[in-house]
Amino acid sequence: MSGSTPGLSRRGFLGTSLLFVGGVALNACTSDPTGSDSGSGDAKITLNHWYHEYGEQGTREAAMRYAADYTKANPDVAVKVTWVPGDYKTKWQSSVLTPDGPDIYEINEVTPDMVQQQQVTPLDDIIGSTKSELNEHALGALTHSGKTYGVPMIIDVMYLYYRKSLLSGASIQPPTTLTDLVAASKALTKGKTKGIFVGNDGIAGMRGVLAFSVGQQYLDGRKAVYASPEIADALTVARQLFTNNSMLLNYTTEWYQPDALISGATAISWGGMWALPALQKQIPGDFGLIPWPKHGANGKPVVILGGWSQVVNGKSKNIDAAKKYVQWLWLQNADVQKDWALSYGFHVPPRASTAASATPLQSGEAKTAVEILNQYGIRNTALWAPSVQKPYDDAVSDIIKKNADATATLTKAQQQSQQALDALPQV
Amino acid sequence: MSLRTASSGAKAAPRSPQGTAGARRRRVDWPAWRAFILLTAPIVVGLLIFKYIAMAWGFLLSFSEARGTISLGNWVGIDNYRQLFADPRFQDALWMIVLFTLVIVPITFGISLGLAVLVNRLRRGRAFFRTTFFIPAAVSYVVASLIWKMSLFSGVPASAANSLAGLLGQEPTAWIATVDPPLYWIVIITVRLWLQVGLYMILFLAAIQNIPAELYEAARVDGARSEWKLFRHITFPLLRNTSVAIAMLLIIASFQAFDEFYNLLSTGLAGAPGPDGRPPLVYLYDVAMGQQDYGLGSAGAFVVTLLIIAFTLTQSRLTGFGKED
Repeated sequence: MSGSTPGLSRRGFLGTSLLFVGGVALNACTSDPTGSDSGSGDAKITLNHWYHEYGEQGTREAAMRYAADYTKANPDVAVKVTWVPGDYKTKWQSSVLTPDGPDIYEINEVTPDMVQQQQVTPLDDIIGSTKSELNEHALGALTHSGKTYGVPMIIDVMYLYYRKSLLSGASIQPPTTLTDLVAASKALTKGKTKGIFVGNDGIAGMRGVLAFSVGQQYLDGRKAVYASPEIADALTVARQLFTNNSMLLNYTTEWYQPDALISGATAISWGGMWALPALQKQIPGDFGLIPWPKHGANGKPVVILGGWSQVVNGKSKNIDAAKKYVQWLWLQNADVQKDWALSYGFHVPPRASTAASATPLQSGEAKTAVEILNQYGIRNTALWAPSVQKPYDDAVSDIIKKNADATATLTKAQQQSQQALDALPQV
Repeated sequence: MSLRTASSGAKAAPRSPQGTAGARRRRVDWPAWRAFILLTAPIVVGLLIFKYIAMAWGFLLSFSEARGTISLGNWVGIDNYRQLFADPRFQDALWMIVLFTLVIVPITFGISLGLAVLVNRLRRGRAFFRTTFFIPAAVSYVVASLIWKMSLFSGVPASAANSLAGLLGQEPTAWIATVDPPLYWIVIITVRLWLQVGLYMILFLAAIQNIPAELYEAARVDGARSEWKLFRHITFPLLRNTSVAIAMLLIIASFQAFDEFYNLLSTGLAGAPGPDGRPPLVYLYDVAMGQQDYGLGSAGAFVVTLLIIAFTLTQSRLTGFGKED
């Protein structure tokens, strides 16, 4: 090192290293932080396809395999699969605000705001005649003014599980009315076992079924209608579960995991069909499933539909290519749909013909689940947006947990829900 | 403060021998400027892009209808603010956080000061206790919340809190789900105390060790025998500036409460917490991120900011923060 210009070389070094650091930072900003895998290099179009992180082993590999198969059949189109861990909803929501959002992504329901802001695009042309085969309630959460904005990928079915041994040990029949359920839960609460588990807050799995269980609805078109005497009564009865100490609360896992049922911490639990494999493995023969029981003279048992649907970003530069890919993947390719729904976890393929030909759904508890799904399955429409739902959720919490007057609380909440509904764009 | 003047006077010693030559060199020192700009540019640019521009954008968003979009243009004046103040749930959230602040700030303040005084009096093992009390400050709020939720205050009979209750002959309790009486406050207050007390204890400890031992000796000579008297007349008054600063930090931290509320009270897939124990930031997170109403969410963020400023100003006015001794 020459001794004559030490200062200069030091500055030079500093400048270079700053540039280097800046370059690294810039590079880090432009590369995809979620970690993704791209398809072939010589394709003309690259479609970005986002999935949330499915918990089941093998799903990610399956998603990549489908994408690779598509590129094999259509060499012009490469599909870049991005597997998004963590809080998927906020991630896709912020990503579709930019021009570089995914071309194809999955959602649970399409809100009017999503339509208004072109976060989605109508898919009726690719759904076509398949529509009659798709579950109407699954489509209801994706449809506005007759246009369908998504293709259901899987249907998740939610209902009550119970431990056969615990019920027969106490000489209790599976409950068919809400009043029975309250009595059964009380009778089943013994020692370290509680009667019922609907979520750690005592509400989560239950609030969404009560209106349906009295034979009514939350929304009638663009009108909030849940402040009825029947629903208020159902809430008041359901409150007894919370107050008479028969509810499991603050357990270490949530209702969507079957652990509380397997460990015997609860005798009855709200749960989903995805838990069937675990239950069959851990407590074979010792569990049954029933719909949420009805309440009142016009009551109906309730099975809730959930699940994921695929949408195409309305701001995508390759809408047509994306639509074609979605059509190939989730409408034409029955093998993919069966594989996706049943090879890793346990869900119902949304297409009736595919579901009917799926062998794992032909026997045992799975068969019962599909039967009660077809008989009682229901879910809210696409207008039950988060802002509309929030006042109801808060009202239920006040009624169940703080003994607020059911009718008055619901009436007030219904006004707020109506305001939120009116604020939703007409699409 | 005559004792301190001796040391602070040392700072005023003549500077460098170049001081006389400095008068001649009035021209701008470009290399120094270049280095200054080069060295500060990354952080300044980062601040500008990721903080100030984002804040200004958020401010403009708060005056527009921005549902499912963050582009500006659909101006609605103060409608978002009006809607927020008409919303009983936002009002509840504001009341809740004020109440929370009034509870948590004095408790944290008292415990950290008490611990600092006790640790300072130790003759041996001071470093051990200092480290032990400080370690929780390095734990993430999310991790601590999960420990509190799943092991200490879980509703199963085997949880720490319920085992203790069992020894006292109590039935197992669902600590977090019980809102009437509000048992969940115990969970929320204790987790924040555990996380925060260590940090503020260190700050108090540093300030206590700055108090000259001569003052205590003089007071003892003058007849102040009891430890309480020494604390009341020497330690506490000399900690005034530190105390005021800590109170201010505590108030700001309390108004910004989010992590432990969100992680303790939300229930997995069901999303954001219910109406009990929902501070403004959790409410606004749900409005912006859950309902995609970015205009309303931004407006709320500025309301909370204003509230923090108002509280801080009032507090510093009352305690005379920044005034000379």
